[in-house]
Order: sequence, then structure tokens, then C-alpha cells
Amino acid sequence: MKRLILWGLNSYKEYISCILPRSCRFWPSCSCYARESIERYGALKGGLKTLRRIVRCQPFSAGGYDPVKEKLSTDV
Amino acid sequence: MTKRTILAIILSVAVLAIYSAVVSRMYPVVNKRDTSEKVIILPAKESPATMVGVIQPEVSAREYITIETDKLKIVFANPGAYISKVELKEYNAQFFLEGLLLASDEQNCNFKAEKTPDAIIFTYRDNGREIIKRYSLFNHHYSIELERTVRYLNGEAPAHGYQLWLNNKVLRQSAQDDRFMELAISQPKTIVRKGLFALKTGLVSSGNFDWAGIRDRYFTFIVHPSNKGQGVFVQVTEGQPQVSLELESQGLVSPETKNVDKFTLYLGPQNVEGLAALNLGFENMLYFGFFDTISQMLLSVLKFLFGVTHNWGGAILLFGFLIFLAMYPLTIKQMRSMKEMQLLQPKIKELQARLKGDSQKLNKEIMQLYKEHKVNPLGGCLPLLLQFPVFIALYQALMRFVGLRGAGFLWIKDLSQPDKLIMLPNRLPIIGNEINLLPILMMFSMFVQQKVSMSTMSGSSSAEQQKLMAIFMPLIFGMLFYSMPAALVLYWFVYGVLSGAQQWLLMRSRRAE
Repeated sequence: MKRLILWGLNSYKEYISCILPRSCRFWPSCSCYARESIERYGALKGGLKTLRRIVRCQPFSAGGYDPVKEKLSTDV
Repeated sequence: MTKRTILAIILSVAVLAIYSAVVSRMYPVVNKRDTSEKVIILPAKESPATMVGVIQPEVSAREYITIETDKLKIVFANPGAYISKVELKEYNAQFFLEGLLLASDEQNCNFKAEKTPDAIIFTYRDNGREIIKRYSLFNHHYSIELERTVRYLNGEAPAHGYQLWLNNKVLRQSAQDDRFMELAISQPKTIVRKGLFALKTGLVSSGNFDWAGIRDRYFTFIVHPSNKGQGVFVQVTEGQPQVSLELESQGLVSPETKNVDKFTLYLGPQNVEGLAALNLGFENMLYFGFFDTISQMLLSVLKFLFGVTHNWGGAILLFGFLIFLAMYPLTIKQMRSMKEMQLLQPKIKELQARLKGDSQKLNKEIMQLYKEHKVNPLGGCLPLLLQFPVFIALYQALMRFVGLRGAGFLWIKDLSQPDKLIMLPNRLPIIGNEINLLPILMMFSMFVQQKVSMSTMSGSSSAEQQKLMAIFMPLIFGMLFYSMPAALVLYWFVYGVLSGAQQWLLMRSRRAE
């Protein structure tokens, strides 16, 4: 599941995103954010984080620098 | 605005294309899963050979009786006392099903017909049984009631039940129309839907059901047996699916006992008002696909607008305007942000000079700056992501909406079809044998819009790419929209023109400053 989503996101970034004008208000962009957060948190949690991000990505929010938070490692 | 619109179009169209490819390839698409997994072993009955071709064409002395209501023209046929053909007068259309409501145990029974003011009564009697089929017809709506009374004169009813055929024949117009045809069965918890032409001979659904029906793009035939049906069976003969309802057996009865089966039928257009009027949940037949709820909402908005304009074309123009207005707060907000942006320009220049080599760091710093001042040059992902469920929902709603059938507007004869301004004598490649003006207009407006937005762009992506886009995008979209219903193209055209005009005004005011 996770790999399928990541494959989809990568091919979107590779083939579709590049011919489109930039529109995201954030850095990293929503699709980069999606890729990172799903990689880090898995399809479900990462997907929810992405959803939250996309909802914030409109003219009424500030946008700007908003990276995926580092997952706290439990093995010290 | 334009940029976002374009992106939205691409994504929507891509999704649409993929969706329809998947739908046409992978039918049957079961929208909701059949929850009953047990398989009933049906009692022995006539072998498939006798069940097939329920209505044998070689029966020579077939008798036809025509009855008209204000909405329907129904041709009944005998032997069998079934409905042979139906014409929908209001829509000037032949109904897509033929050979309705024949029961398996009366195929060769020669009934006597008797007309009353509101019904037609067929009676049959032999040594063993008496069958009365009473069809009650109504003016002003599309429902029919069938009451079938059987009396076993020897007191011996057959051990097995009987089947009631919904149809003997499906009239197919084109392969394109086939994918709109569905069989739907309302089970206690779910509604099972299957592509009609993907069905194979066998039991489609076992267990109780509330109603079962068949629909094409615009019309539907639904049967609700008052005593619960036991299952729905399909027989496919020469590519023709024939659907029948399995009905309960009566067991042993005394000669006086009348076995009465009542059926409420709907035979007409798929519109919510008509279907819901019967209070049998028939409105659930109306299903527009994945974004069903949005489709239904958009359709009710469209119907409301029709109440204002009394013309579907006008309603669609208004609808495009409304969607544009709905996006307006976002646009305004974006415009203000743009103005404040210009005040920040010196700071950005300074950053650019300082972090010349490190583009990643530069991006990050610029974004940080935007965030501090709460401005942003870009509209964001949500507005454009929001547009494509809406567009797909609208597409699906308009594809099935009966109201548009035959509705004219300006030079468009039928909003549910391409506008077909000029018919060509010969078939041309790609274009086909008609010239549609609306998609060409839409293409042109897109082209102009691209030109306008190109002059506003401050060279963020390469100019070459931009030029290429300005030519290819309208071409691709013109082709994709070419054979779509005129209503949909009209909507896109209006929306595109409005956002183009707005952009142009914005540009002019900026230049004035």
C-alpha cells in the first residue's frame, strides 16, 4: 500500500508536476510533503498529515516553510 | 487563477479519462458489494431452453392491444398478457426494454382482455387454474400497478414458484450507451448495481429484495413485489440479458384460495421527483457514481436555477457564474496578497543576492519571509484539488440528467449531446461527421487566456515551455471536450471566460498603478 502510493507520488512528480506551473504555498510543496510524511509515518498517519497539509494550502493560510517533523526515534 | 484552473482541468480530465477507461474495461463495477454470499439451490423448473426467448417469435397469432395514458403508450401482447412495447410520449422516445412482465407459467396462455377506464384486465382459465392479470394505469405519473391472481381449481399448486420476467429484450443504440445500462437490486442493507451487459447467466442476487430494476442513460424500469421476492436471475441469450424475479411458491391451497401477487412498477425517466413519489425507495435507483452526493447537490442547484431562467442553457450559464462567485473570496484574498507582495520585493532581491548559489536555502528563506508577512504569491493546492471532485460530479450528473435531453439553447439543439452545428456529408478523421462550435470556442478562449496569463508571468518557468503550453493545452482540451455533452462544455466555457476576464481586469488595474 505504502509503496504503491509512493510510486504514484513519484511518477506524479516526475511526469506531471514538472509541466505544470507552481502553485503550492508551502515549502516543501504538498506532494513532497506527502512523499516524506508517508515514507516516515506510513500510509495511514502520513496520509492524514498530508490531508491536513492540503486543507491548509489555500489563500486563507499563511503558507511558507513547513517541513515534515522528524519522527522521534525510540532506540537510543 | 488561470493557472490553477488549467491545472484543475488537466487533473480532472486525466482522472475522467482514467475513470472511464477503467469503467469500460473492468465492468461489471459493483458499486456496493453483494453482502449475501450464500447460494440458494433453486427448485427444479423448466430447463433453460424453454426459459430462453421467453417470447417465442414463431407464435403466429399474436394479438396486440394498445393503451395510452397522458405519459405512456403501452402495447400489450397476448398470449402471455405482457407488455410488448412502451413509448414515452413526453420524451418522444421508445422505451429501451421490450417484452415486460411475462410470468414463466403463463407463456402460452391465451388471455381474454377487457378494458376498463383505468385498467386492463386479462383473464385466463383452463381445467387446472385461473389467472387474472390486472394492470392499473394512471395519468400524470409513470407508475403502473400489476395484480396477478391465480386460483388452482384442483387445489393443487405447483411445488415451485414462478418467475416474472422484467424484460425479454434490450434495445441497444450504441456501445457508448451500453455502459449506462445497469441492473440494480435493493437488498435489505445495500443496493447492488451491475453493468447489464457484463452479466452472465445465473443468479445475480439471492435472498429477499425490496425492488429490482434496469436503467439506461435516462430511463428506468423498476419492479417492487409486495410479497418479498426470493432472488434475481439473469439469462443471457445471444448477448441479450433477460432479467427475471424469483417469486415464492404458494404450496398446497384449496380451490377457493386466491393467490394474489401485487407489483408496483415504475416505468419512466430517472428523476428524483417521480421516483420518490411512490415512497418505495425507488429514488435510490438514481446513482451518479463515486461523487453521488455532490452530483445530487449540484443537480438540485441546477434545477433551482432552471426555475429562474426557464431554460437549461441559461441555468448552466448562471451555474458557471455561481461557481465563479464561490471561488471569488479566495481570488480576492489572493489579489490583496499580490499587492503586499510588491512591498516585499526589495527584501527578496536582497536575499537572492545573498544566497545566490544555494537555491534550496533561498527557497526556504523566501518562504519564511512570506510566512512572517502572511503573504504568498501562489494560490495553493486546495482550491484546485477541490475543483476536480466538483467537475467530475457535474460531468456524471449531466451525463444522466433527463432534463437536458432535447433541451435546446441558442444554436444547440440538444444540450445532452455535442452541439453539432454543421453536419458533414463525409466522415473526417478525429472530427467525425459533425462540426461542433462550442468546443472550438472553448479552445479559443483557453488560448486567449493563456496569452493573457503569459504576459503576467514574471518568467518563473522557461518562456519556451510557456509558449508550447499556450498552444498545446487548448488543443488537447479541445479534443478531449469535443464529443462531450454541450452542457458541460458550455459550463467550462463560461467559467473560463469569467476567470480570463477577471485576470485581464486585474492586470489592467496593476498596470494603472
